Amino acid sequence: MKIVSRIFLRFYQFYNGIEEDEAMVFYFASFAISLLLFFYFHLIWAFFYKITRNNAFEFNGFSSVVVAFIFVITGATVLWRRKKSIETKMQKMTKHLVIEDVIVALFVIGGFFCMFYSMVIFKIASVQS
Amino acid sequence: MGSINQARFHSWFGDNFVWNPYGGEETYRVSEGDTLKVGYTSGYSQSNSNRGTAMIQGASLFGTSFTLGGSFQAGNGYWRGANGKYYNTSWGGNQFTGSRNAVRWSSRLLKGAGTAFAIPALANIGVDWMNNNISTRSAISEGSSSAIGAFGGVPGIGWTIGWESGRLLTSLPWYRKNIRPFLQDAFGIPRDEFFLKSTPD
Repeated sequence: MKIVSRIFLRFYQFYNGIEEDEAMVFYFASFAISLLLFFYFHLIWAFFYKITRNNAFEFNGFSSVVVAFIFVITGATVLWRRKKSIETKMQKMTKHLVIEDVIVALFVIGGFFCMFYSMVIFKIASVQS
Repeated sequence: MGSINQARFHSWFGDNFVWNPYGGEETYRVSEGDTLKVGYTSGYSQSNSNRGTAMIQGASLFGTSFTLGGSFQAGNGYWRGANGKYYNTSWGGNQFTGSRNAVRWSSRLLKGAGTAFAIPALANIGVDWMNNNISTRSAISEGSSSAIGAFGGVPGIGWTIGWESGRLLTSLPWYRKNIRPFLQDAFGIPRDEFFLKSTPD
């Protein structure tokens, strides 16, 4: 939970600079975190398809959009319900760079990497099958 | 590579210019008086390429319009009343302006929906790349642009508008005939298109 709060703190700081509505800042932060989690899931999905070659797991725009929306809606709801607890933890945290921020940076960079790399795996697997 | 096409041109500039808009390869060239007959392979399919970018553009612009609508309703310490005037957020509204909270919630809904539209835009890029409708370079640049739109909040929408406007401009035949060849010359990139002096048959 501590690392989730740290990720939230950094996203909060980023979105606070571009949006004044506190509820929207929370939404944007939870949307971004959930979407990044979906990108990780997408990579696992791609590997699963590569291993099994089962057409049910083939890349399909519609199913990807549906699963991404499920991730975002679930993520935003779960994080909203824990809003108070996250905010309390965030207030106790230092704004200076700490070792956990490396994990936050890796989480963000890794998410974008997964977004591109999962598509490469899907394409290679679909050509081979 | 697709089928072999044929086009006729006025040879105003000798044999140096070839109309090759979609990356096909020239197969033959015959001079007939002041007309030049050129055969070329289709290369990248025009219809597929256009369809691919149109879908991405549609999803991006649809989402952008939602977020823009939300930003017009409320932002920067102001909200827009039902009478079309902007008021400070410290004031709650009256019977002529409507409720500030209703405007705030509708603005939130529009901004949230606009951001969410980045997901179908990203999926479209993936589908188009998988179907070879767009190149890998385009997919990376389009994916990065959509990611900025998704994660950039309201300023990210400004990026999307700029990106889509650029795409619209560079797809105009006038730009491709009159600006692009000279920019390619300036940057030392070999011309893959040229300005057409007469309409192909």
